[in-house]
Amino acid sequence: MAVLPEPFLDLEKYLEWSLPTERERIAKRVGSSLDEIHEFYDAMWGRLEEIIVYLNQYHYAEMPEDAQRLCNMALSLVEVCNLVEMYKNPARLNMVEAERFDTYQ
Amino acid sequence: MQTRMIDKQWSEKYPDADTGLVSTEPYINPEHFERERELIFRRHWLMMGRVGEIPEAGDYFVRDLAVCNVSVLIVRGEDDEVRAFHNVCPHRGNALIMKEQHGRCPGRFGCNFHGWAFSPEGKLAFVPDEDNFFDLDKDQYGLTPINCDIWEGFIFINLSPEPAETLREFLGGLGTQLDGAGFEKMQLLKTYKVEEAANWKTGLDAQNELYHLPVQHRFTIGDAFVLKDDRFCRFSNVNLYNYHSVWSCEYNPNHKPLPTDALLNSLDSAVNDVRMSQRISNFDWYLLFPNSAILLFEGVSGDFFMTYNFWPLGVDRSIWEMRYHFPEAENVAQRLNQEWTILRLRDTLMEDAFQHEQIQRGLASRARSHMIMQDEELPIRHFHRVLEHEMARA
Repeated sequence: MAVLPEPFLDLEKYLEWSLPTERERIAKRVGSSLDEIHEFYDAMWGRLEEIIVYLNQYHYAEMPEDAQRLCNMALSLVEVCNLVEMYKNPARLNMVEAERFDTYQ
Repeated sequence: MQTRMIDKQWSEKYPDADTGLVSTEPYINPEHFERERELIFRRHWLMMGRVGEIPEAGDYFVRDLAVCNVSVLIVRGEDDEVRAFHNVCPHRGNALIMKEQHGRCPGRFGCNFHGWAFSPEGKLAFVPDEDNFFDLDKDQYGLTPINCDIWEGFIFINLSPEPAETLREFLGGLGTQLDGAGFEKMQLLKTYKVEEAANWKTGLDAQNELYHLPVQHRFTIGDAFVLKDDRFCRFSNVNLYNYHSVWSCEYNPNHKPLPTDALLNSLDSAVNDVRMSQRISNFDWYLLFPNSAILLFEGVSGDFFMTYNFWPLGVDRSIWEMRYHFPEAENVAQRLNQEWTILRLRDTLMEDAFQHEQIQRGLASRARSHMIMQDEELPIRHFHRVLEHEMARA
């Protein structure tokens, strides 16, 4: 099995964003530069509709590994989209450090 | 209910609700906090979770209520009944389950000290070397029960040996408003928990209004709800109950969805479309005295609800728990849209948690002895009047 579903193999260079838990996705966002986040966002956003249509053939909780990796990348896009589209710069927000917010999926 | 943009309308609706100041002492006074342990948390019904968290016989969870020095074991018995017990072995007082956790009882709860074992219904089932005891009546040494009752799938406990009122009486008009609301159509999807350097009421009060929204959340969801003159939040409805309250508001029709929001909404074509029949407006925020809230939201392809619990650790420390319940996603599009909804709120709640600690710092300085509150902060004042009343019952 390829690492990602065949129509999305070009996104392979962003595989480091394929993270199974919210905690890991937050850490990736917090640990990435704004440039890195924008590059990932730009690469993913134009394909998001296609990705969702493709993933919709599976039940959310039961998909093959390659589709699950792609889905985890889509979840990372959702993790960063508020930063890119809404508040732009994390330094503008007064919020508690992400690691203080315990998450349970 | 249509939002009306007139001033002081909630005090007009509730002329008996006073418009006076609120003391800052209850947030910072250690002696007040000591009295709250007994008069508030040991006497009132406390919302612990949902029956859906323990769906099968033997499923349990443990919650430590530091404010009462009590660890609570909530378990579903083989007879399907949900019960609450002190998480304590009746033999020598050892903690039965050693930390807060969810789990399934493997037939018996075994004590790690001497091996006494209990059924999921709390009966003492096995005592090692039993014949060496003197007059041990095993019926007298089951797990110590705690009053437990269920309303609309919410599990409540009451630590008072004889609660002054039933759960139903305690819920009053809130119970009537939300009977049959359809909570069971949703399941727990996400929990957040943050420990704050703030009194439990500091966070609860900050959440119990929208006046702060366009300012504190200006970079996140400041324009999500309908605004007077495009600037100030206004409720569409307020109801005050015996102990509790609800305010509601409408989504801002002029709010422009962000790109990912708009795309996910357009793809979210789930057909289940689960709705909650009792919603008053697009968003209803119920204060459930003393330390909980139930939030109902209208969503794109189905409604959803959240619960908050503010658990005191000390006069200036607390844990804020946030739980999101959604209909089960039918497809990836719906699940991603749910995740987007969760994360947008999460970032806002992280702003709130920061603010709660800043408020606590200011209150603790004793710069002011009282706070002034406007008409849209009336539910907070109602909460404090109820609190004062309950504290005076001693």
